[in-house]
Amino acid sequence: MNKLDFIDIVNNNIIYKKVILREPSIRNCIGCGKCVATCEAAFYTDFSMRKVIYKVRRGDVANINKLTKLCMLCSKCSNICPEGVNTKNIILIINELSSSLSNGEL
Amino acid sequence: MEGYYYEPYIVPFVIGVLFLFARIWTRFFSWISVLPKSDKKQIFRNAISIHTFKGLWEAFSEILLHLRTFYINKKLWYMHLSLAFGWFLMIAVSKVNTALYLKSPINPPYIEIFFSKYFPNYCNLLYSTVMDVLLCFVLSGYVMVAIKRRKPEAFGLKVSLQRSFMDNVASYSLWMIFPLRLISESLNSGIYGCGGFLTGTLGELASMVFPENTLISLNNFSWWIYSFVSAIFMISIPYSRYLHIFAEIPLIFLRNFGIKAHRIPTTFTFLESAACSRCGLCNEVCPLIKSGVTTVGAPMAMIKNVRAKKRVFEVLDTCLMCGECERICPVRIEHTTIRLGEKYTSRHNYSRFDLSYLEHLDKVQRDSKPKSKVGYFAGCSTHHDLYILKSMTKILNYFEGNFVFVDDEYRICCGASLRNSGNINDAERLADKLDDFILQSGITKLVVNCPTCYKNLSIRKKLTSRVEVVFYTDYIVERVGSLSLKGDVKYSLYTPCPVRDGSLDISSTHTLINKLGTYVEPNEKNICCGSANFATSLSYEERVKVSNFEITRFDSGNIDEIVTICPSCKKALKNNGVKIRDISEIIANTLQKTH
Repeated sequence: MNKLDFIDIVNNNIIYKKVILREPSIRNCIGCGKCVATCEAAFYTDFSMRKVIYKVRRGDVANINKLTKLCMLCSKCSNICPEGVNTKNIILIINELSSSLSNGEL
Repeated sequence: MEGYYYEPYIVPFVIGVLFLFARIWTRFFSWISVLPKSDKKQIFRNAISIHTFKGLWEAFSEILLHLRTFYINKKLWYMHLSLAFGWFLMIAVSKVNTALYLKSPINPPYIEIFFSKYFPNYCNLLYSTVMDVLLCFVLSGYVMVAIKRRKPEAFGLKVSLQRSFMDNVASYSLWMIFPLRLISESLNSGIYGCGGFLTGTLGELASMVFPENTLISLNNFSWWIYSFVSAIFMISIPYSRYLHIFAEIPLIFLRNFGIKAHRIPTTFTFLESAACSRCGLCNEVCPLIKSGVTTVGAPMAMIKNVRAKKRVFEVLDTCLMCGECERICPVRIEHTTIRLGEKYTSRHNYSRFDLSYLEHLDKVQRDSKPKSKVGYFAGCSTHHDLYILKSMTKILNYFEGNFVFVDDEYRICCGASLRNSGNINDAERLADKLDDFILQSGITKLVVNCPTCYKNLSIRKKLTSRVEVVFYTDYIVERVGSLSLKGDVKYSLYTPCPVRDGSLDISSTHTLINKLGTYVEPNEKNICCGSANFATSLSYEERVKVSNFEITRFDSGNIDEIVTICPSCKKALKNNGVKIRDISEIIANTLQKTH
């Protein structure tokens, strides 16, 4: 069996806390997956908005920007979201925060 | 010191003038000297030409007469005119008078400012009357400013501006300058006579109240204060919003030479932001402020941040990019380009997107011989609306028999969102990929369904050299020809955003609506439906508020249906209890019924 991924929820969800401050609608996500069903990037890659939000919530943010950088920002997901989650802003904020995370600024 | 007319009370004034011009010169020179080479070439090419005269006229009509403000807001115009033109005339008249009196055209600038203090026995009724009239003119502007501060609604303004510390220093010293001048001149005429209708009367009153010794010392004191306050004002100009007085001059000339703000910002951006006088007209037309949603991303606040070199994502991203502010701005500041540039500088370092997976598109198998020469590009937002998609399929099948659905299975964004979030390079890469993808399909005519996609595709050189890109209403009008579609329904049209910046022509849509029924003009020109995906930090609720406000522009009692030509507009407006359909749906229905 592979080594289990270890996630430090208490210390690692600093990105989630920061995203909530700037984009509170991330809390509304119910994980319905409509965003992934309509996603254009998900057709070519394994990018998934739902996965991104889940990972951020759980603090599994080590390689999160590898996922978020696949987005084309076409805004289909935010148009279709039943809970009004502002997905594009989440992507942009995570891109910004994860670069400062890798620089050790957070 | 004989020829220089040295007096101790001019020292603060001279220090102020020297500081002001040194600071402004170094600032503007440092901005203009680092402009890109192509811009500099343009300056040299156009510097001695008709553009210089155009610039001169524009400088006169805008900086002094404020003609553009006149057509927008008369009260605001009078306020600006009286302060700018009145002040200019006062300086000009006293300059001419000094030159005539001293019989030499070039004199130090403080002589004309302190003229009556220098030559108290000079008596010229015409001169003092003209100066008094001008002083009244400027002081009437002060009254307007006072009213505007207390009651901005009286000027039709809703949002009052936030002043920084230096703005306050500058405006309070400006507040004191002209009343002090009035007092000093009146005291002068109280002692020596020779005042105009205003200063003469006030001087006589003063001489009745005070003994002559007191008058003389008061007069000296007030001239000292006047010089001091002028110095404070001039020193604070480069750090406050009053820098616009001087920044507008190079801006107008450079713009006449053909320099523009770039999406990847140059120092011209700083010059434009310095030329903003914060008159507040842009805030009044902003759809986000008009509909009462938020004032966070107000154009004026954005320009203020540019000047302070502050980049706040909340401010930059809370904007629908409708460009209304740009069109009303009397200084013609390019808000949208500046905003994009600011987004670019603050984002391009870390927010590089990895779109290498689009290489996959190169391997897509295409038919060796395309089934039709006409292709259809739906775009992201049309793929949400199956009604539009089906109707367009029907229409294209009806007219062409067969067509190539370019983004049926393999869908790709046109790059508008990436570009408008500041990731210009990634957007270019994406658009290049899309060009290749469309060209692969072997079509010669591309019908585009989304106005934003059309705006972005119709400017691609590589694509348009081989494929004719047409908007779907243009295509339908051309194909419908003389087919009768007559109905008796009253339609109103919701205009999408690319129409206002001139990248989309909707005359064909009007032709179609007139064929289908009667066109009813909306009460007011609409601005933005609120679904513009460029405003990334705008929440869903705020977007709904904008669209609710937009729907009030239509006289719902008088129209049967609102027609849209943009899938995003339709989606944003359809939850407002008004019947709303895309034009393709109506046409597909009519075609099915009648033919």
